[in-house]
Amino acid sequence: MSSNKIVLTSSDGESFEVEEVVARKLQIVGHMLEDDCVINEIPLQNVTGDILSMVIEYCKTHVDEEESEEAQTKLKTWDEEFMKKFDIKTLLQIILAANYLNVKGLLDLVSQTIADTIKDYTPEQIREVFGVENDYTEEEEAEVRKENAWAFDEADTPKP
Amino acid sequence: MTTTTTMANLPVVLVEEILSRVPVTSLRAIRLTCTTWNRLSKNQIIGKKAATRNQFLGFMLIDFTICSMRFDLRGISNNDDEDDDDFIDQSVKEVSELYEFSISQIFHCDGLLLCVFNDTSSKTLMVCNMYLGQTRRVKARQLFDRFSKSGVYAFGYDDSEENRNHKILRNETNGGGYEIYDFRSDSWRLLDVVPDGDTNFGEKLSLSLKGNAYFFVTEEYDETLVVEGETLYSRESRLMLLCFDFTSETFGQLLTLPFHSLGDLVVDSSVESWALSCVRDEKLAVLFQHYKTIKIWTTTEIEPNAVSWDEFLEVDLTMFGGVPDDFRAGSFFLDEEKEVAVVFDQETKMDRNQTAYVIGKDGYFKSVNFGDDPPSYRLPLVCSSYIPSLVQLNKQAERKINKQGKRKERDY
Repeated sequence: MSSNKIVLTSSDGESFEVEEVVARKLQIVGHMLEDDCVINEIPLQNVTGDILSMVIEYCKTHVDEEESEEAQTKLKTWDEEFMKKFDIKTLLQIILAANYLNVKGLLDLVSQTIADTIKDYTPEQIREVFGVENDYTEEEEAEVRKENAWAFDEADTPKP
Repeated sequence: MTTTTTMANLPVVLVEEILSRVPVTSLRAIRLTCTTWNRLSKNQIIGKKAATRNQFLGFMLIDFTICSMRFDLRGISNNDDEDDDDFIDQSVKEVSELYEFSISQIFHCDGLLLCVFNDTSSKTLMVCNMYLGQTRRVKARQLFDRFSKSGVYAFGYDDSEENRNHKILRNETNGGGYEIYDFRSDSWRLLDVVPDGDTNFGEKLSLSLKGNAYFFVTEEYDETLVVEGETLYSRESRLMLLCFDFTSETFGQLLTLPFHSLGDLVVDSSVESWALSCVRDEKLAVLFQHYKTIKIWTTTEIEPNAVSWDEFLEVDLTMFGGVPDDFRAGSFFLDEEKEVAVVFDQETKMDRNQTAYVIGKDGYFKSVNFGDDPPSYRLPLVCSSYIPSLVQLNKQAERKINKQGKRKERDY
């Protein structure tokens, strides 16, 4: 029954033909399908083809969320390997796409991966990689630096 | 790709989602990145989700010195066959800035520690914000009042107003009444409240959950028996749970525990032990050891006047080779996802390293050494779900900061 195919088109005109069950993993598509039942081509304005292909890869793998512990462990391992493929810039694009397309599982996964990446960074590294501007005045920055953690400062945390 | 994506142009909900997963040990670097992230950290967004991820931060007293404790259980596999390969990363070490203080009791609430000095007649209590590195001394109500090292204390907050007002309850040494201190007024008041029934606080410290404090108490009561037409009275006792509600400033009703014990009147104290803990700041957990059996329950509902329990695990220690015969569980914390509890001995034996035992539902067992020097005295850990707090304790700092028109959250 669900062998119905849907074509997803990215902002740069790339098209992906996927099964309806896979497309429904993008909640934005799911809602469109509910509103209007006969669509077979969906344009997705805010996501480029290369990022959309990764989101589709995730959705295909997660299409049947099996309850069994074995299946869960397998998926978890797949998720870890999948995330290893991307650098931080790509991760940031994927998280934006996952937010726009409303794929909860992917959003959680990418957020966690980014958090795990930045936890060992210095403020300078964080700013550089994330393009965040240092908007502290010198006095303000000194003030925050003075508030040092007694119990669990960075020096405590062994780097893996 | 024409545009470069950076964190700066991510929607704020996504930034929050990411930062909530960064462990609190990285809080300082995050706060220093920019003023926006610093502000997010003040709303206690950072580390909130990370705190639920098998990483446990807390405090314990070893030899009257405050130690910070970190246990990382992420390395525990849920697969039974691989127990030997599990990696548990842990450290327990003295907080050097507080090394000079000899402390007899500590209480954790909302990222703050209340410390009672190991002194029979101390004039002050000490409250520490372990993240900001601030301390505040709390003076007694009257000039000649003292804070006993073995008195009954509790630490909590009133959440009825927008800004939490932290409070300390203590059992007045003269006369047996209670008095309460609140941070906002910086003063003590006498309280006209008593717990229900004929109850006694034991040696176990109170535990704070959601701003209220929970105590183990032993209730004594008369049981009437009619034997062959003759009425007999018998003095009985049982261990109960008691809540002090810091918002209404009253004690709740006595709450039942999921096990039966005579409490402090138990004839042979080497047979039974019990301990309280909390799971994040959401649930209470209670442990009861009877001979070689340890049972742990968690609450499904917990309010000052209502409690219900769900069994978490039951293990027979004789199943495991590594537990000493005289092991008596004194404190613990648990990881619901990994379905394990980390249990500490009630007191450390002189001839032994400091060891914690990780026990699990399906017979999982591992012993973890966390220090080589056997201490002479150890109090239970007081918290295992520490999240740094930005509550200002330093009154001078507050004035300075307010003048600049910045930072106003929950200052005292």
